Amino acid sequence: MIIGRVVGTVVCSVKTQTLEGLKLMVVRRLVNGQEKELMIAGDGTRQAGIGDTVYMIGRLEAALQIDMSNPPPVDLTISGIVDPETL
Amino acid sequence: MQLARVIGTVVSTRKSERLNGLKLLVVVPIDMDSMQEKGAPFVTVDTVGAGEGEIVMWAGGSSSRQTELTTGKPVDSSIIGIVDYVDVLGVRKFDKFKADEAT
Amino acid sequence: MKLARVTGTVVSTIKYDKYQGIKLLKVRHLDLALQETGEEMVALDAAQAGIGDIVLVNNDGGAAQMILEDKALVAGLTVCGVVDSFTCQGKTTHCHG
Repeated sequence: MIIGRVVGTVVCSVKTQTLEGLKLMVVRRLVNGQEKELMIAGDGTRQAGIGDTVYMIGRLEAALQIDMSNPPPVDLTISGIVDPETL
Repeated sequence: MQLARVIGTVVSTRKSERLNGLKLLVVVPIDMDSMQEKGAPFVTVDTVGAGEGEIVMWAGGSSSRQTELTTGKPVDSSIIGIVDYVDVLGVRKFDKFKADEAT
Repeated sequence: MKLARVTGTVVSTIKYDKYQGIKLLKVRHLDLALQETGEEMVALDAAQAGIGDIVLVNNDGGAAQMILEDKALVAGLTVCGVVDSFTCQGKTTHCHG
């Protein structure tokens, strides 16, 4: 899994039906603490907010983690939020 | 997922049968920091009715096959949403409705 | 998928079992002006493509399994279509001959 910081959101009203209800977060990727590119991740935790440091899973596992029985077409999902006091 | 702008269409008659019926679009990646085009254009599959000029969100790999239109289809990326807004750190970096007005 | 030009064929006797009977092509990615970019790569052919054809190259192993109808195939690049034409910003480029 890769690490990043949540910096924003993306809103799409026209989208694949299985994306309904999934929050799309803009995440700044962090590599060894260095800020890298922005990416879009589905919020599997449903609780991520701006400023949170998160870890994300990619590929098909991203879709399965959102919904195993009806996976949406997402290739990156926020799996968890790092407890801030442990950073 | 990443953003891209739709810039064109592709016609291919002789192709894998399993690609039949899919709409192939040419897109150019959009860098979310600058909201400018950055990187090499590529061909992707539309699942949402995207049109030329629109900013779209796309997914890659096997995730791109998790839509009604692309299930079981040999695609490596697909357009999964038409972007209305991108907000980063309290700044609205993209607004489809303002962009529509401007054009 | 990416646009590419078929620049040659690869003849190989000794190869991964699953590639037996599949044509291997050399391809180079193209920009929208049809200029070659990047390095020459090898792709499996699933579109009866020939040298000089402008093609769509798929870069996903799972898609390759579907294109070549073999769930046990392990592959990277697959030529999955021959491009007739593409239209960008009102300009149509025809790709045959």
